[in-house]
Amino acid sequence: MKERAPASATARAAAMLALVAALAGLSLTSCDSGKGQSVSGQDAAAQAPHETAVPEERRIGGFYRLTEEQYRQVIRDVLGDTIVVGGRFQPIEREAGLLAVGAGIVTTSASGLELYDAMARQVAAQAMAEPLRTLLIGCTPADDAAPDDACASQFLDRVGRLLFRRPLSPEDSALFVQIAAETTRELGSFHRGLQESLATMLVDPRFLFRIEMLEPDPDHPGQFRLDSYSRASRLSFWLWNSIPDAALLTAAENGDLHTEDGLARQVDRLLASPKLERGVRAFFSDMLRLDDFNTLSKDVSLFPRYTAGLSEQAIEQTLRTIVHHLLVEQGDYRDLFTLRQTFLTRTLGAVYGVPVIAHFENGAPEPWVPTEYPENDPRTGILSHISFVALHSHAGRSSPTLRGKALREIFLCQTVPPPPGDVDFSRFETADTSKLKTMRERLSAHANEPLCAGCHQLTDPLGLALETFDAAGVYRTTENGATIDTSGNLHGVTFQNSAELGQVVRNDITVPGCVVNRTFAYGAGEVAQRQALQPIEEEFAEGGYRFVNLLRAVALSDSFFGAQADATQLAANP
Amino acid sequence: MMETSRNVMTPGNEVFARRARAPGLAALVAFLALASQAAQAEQTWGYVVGSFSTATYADDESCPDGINPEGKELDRRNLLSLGYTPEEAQKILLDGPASVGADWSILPMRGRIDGKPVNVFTYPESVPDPRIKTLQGSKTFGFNLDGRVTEEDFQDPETGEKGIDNQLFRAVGCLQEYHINLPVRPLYEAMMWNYAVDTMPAWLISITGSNLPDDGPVTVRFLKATHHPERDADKGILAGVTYLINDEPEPGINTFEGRIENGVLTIEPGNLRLPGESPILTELNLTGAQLRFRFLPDGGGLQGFVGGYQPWLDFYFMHAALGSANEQSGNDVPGIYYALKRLADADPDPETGINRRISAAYQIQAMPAFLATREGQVVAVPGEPPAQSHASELTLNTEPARPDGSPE
Repeated sequence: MKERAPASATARAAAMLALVAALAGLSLTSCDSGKGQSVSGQDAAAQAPHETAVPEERRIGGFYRLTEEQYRQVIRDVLGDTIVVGGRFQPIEREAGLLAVGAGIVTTSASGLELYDAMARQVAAQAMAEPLRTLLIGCTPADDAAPDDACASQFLDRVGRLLFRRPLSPEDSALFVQIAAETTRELGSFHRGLQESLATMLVDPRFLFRIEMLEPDPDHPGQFRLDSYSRASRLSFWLWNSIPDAALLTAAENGDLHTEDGLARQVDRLLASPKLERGVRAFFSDMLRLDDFNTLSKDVSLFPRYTAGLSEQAIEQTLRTIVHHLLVEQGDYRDLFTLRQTFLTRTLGAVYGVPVIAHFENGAPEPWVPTEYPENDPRTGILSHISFVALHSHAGRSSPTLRGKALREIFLCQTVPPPPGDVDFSRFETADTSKLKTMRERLSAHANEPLCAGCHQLTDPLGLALETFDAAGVYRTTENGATIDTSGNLHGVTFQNSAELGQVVRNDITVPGCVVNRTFAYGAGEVAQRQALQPIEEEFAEGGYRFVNLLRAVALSDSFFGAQADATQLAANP
Repeated sequence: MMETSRNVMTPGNEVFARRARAPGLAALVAFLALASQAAQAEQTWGYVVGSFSTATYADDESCPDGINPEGKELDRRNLLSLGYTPEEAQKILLDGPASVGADWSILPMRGRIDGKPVNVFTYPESVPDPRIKTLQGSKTFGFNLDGRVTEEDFQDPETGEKGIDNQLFRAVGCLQEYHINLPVRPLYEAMMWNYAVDTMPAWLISITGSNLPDDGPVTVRFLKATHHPERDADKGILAGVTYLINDEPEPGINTFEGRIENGVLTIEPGNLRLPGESPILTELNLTGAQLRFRFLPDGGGLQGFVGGYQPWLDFYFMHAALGSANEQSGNDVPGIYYALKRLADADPDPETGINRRISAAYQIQAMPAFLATREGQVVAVPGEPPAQSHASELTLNTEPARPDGSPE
């Protein structure tokens, strides 16, 4: 006999409706985001003022949807590694170069809510199955078939505090316990009751979204500040890509995050944790647009070395290299463009054309082997990685334009305009390469088209330096029998090949500022104003461009938690 | 815990000293080339075997009496031999053995020893010799293993050489799936290779010589890897992977002196033994082994043939491994057994006098690979395509040979 859906399913539906309402309310109530620093970077004080009384109630400062990786990590952190999270996640649009910023302006559709609901039920069912539930619940009900409010609230309060990143209010606690009790009575199972309540939490907007709450700033009457729990969440999702741990939540509860010393203590603790690697990986995955691998394909007949698992390995190679250089070696960020050290598998070695000596059991997963290239090897620096050259190529050919554009946008924070809508790409797709043998020759047509020249002068000289890597990342020196010319210049500084390009990029004055910009925007969920970043840039330089120093400088800067200059009316506290 | 090695490729590393593509070393390499023209540097190129199957050849003369029956007809014949009527046999073939109150074991268990049913693939002599049709044509690929030219021998369609010893292909050449020409491979063998290659430690080849692949003397070694071959995106074998050599071959086997002449690599006869894996050959075991390889112009691989005298039971076991499923392809497994035994032409058993080995030839295609010792020393770099003047594809010599056996 099919089990009746519990009446508390309506509570879950109500939570979903509350989510929709909250999103609708946020989009309708204000002409700006209500933040001291708008997404466009304009000073909120310069916007048209809104007439309002001095506010005393709390209000929403930001609404950031958890990424897929964050969702999965939170489930792992709260409910354990054995939970399998199935289902699809709706994509987030990249804004200001980052998904982390885009997460703050994206909503969820009706079908997206259905996906979340399905996931929530699956996760909750697994959590409440033996033997996991015994470990998770922490208490035993008096009667398995009857409500036990004391045991239920013990579990739900603890889990809710972690999932919502702040303690449950007495009203919320009572509501979730009531959901559990009602379901228990209907289905005759205490654990089914908890399951239903847990599933309801997992579709609550306070779980699915990182909701940043503003409170009146006692030190600056008329202004608002991010409350303690919002600060804790902002820090933990930025540095650990997941929820605050118990110690950070406690620090939030004690008000420590509003003091310089208290904040510094927590920041240093987060930076010293092994979990920092997760945050660094997530940041660079976003900044380097590695999610684009999800839709990347290569023509297997042209690039048989681009095997099924190569994309995943390419991502891992770059992230391992970055983590090792920035966190383990505490190296100079700029040296990522000239680094001779990396990590390879045998499969990657087959693409790069280098031997990789690996000892492992036949049939076991390939291990990662630390590898160091000789001086002046063209495969130095992350620009030569498959994660860059193959990612920014077409399925059947390389693309200096895509690579040059990506280099400027990702590492120099420059904007390259999109192509005109009526451009004829067929001129560069010709199968007849008898006359125009190399990509440089085929692209030279752009230089003669006034409509094209402006942008292609920005992109092509840089991308052509990487033409010794084909669309799969395989190194080559000729194309159709002609030697590939990899010379060019960036901001007037010339280079002869990809290794020298890496050196030039490393030394470009815009590179440090760009990573500062991105680091701040990723953590804060919004782009900072130039003047806010200046002192951080200086501190970054003084600290030898060490990334951990940058993270600390950003976290402890005056602007990271953003004082709210305007008492704009926003959606009420849900 | 997995052990990893640190790759340190310093400028002194032999591998990178020869990677003229590294622009920083191009000038150095050019200087060395000028300074040492008289003294040619020795190189070793590495390969991993990506494709291996019986070398096949078919023309109008191959099977004048027709091809052996395909799977269904083979089953019909076997059912009739068990005493089923033609109508019962037809019913079984259409509706399955349950339609006559039997099960599918009736075919594999059709052997009889002392009247009791036995598995015919384990005991092929438990059924009479079906006398499968064998190859009658005059041509097939292979090598002159015994140094003689006799009427029994074949002529190689690629080189035109006469005196080719390949009794194994005579045995199977008129089975449906062997009556084909390269690049098509026997279906059963191709499937079995496909199964095995994802677990079986790879077969490696190294070629050492000066200024490869220019003409000159070389040393060829066959080696076994510690790991199976890696696949590429097109389900072939990935080029450029690094394989660790499992162990050095015993003295006297797997190392051959040879030479490259007009772009073709051949060797002096010797003994070749490489462990394989069921369901392909459990061992590639060839005495008097010879080979003929070409350097492929596209991708830098090798293509060619290897042949010699092999234990015919090894070949039979390959076919017996999937028994009934194999017979669905028309491979009369007991028939293959009897034909191999009858046509075996070397290594007589001292007690029975029955020849234990049969002349054979296999096609091989190998992809370029790095080869390294377990200690981490790279001993071979991936082979490179030949210059245009040496580029060659497999061509068939269709012109009649001169009476002395040499091609026109």
